[in-house]
Amino acid sequence: VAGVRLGPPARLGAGRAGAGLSPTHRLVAPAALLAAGLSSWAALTDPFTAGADAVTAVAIALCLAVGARGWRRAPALPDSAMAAAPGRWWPWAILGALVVAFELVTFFLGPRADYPTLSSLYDSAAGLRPVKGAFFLAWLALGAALVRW
Amino acid sequence: VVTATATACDAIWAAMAALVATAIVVSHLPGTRLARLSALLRRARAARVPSVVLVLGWAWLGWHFFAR
Repeated sequence: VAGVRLGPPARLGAGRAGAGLSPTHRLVAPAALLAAGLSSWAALTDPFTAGADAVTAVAIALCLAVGARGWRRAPALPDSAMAAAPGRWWPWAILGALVVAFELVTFFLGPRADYPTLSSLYDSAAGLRPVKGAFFLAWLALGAALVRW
Repeated sequence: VVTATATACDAIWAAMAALVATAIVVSHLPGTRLARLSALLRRARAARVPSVVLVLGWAWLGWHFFAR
């Protein structure tokens, strides 16, 4: 376009996709695309159907496969880092215990309409397809983080 | 019809969610003594058995929420 001042010429080879990236970084874009595709698929499924089983099983299998690849690697942290306390952990334990306790109370007290559990709250929210897709994507991200750490 | 019991339960769940969110924020503040969740998970992931338990828990969670 006439009159538009262009920036300095690009470095030779800088335009090549993925140039200079590590193999792990090169996988980020395909993995993100795959996660988006799986999440979209999951958003269109209903629980207790073959489609829901299939998309969940595929996601679990993918994460387990990635995890199995790293199984033989050395622990992620050296012993010195393991020994160093990351900070106070007990508040998290109390929070987790509170959530589990209240989940059990609501589960056993019963009817879901009066005593909603986490699952029934999720079911209400996941009635909206985009919300369900977002939940699935978040779950996938957690799985990816767990097998990569 | 939303009963008073259901409203109370919803309020308790919301309070717990707020507590978790607050703890996450506090754990990221400079000088805090509260461990970050990511640090705890990374520490657990450094050993084999906790790693397997975490991944199996994650898989069960997905199966429970999305499939069954």
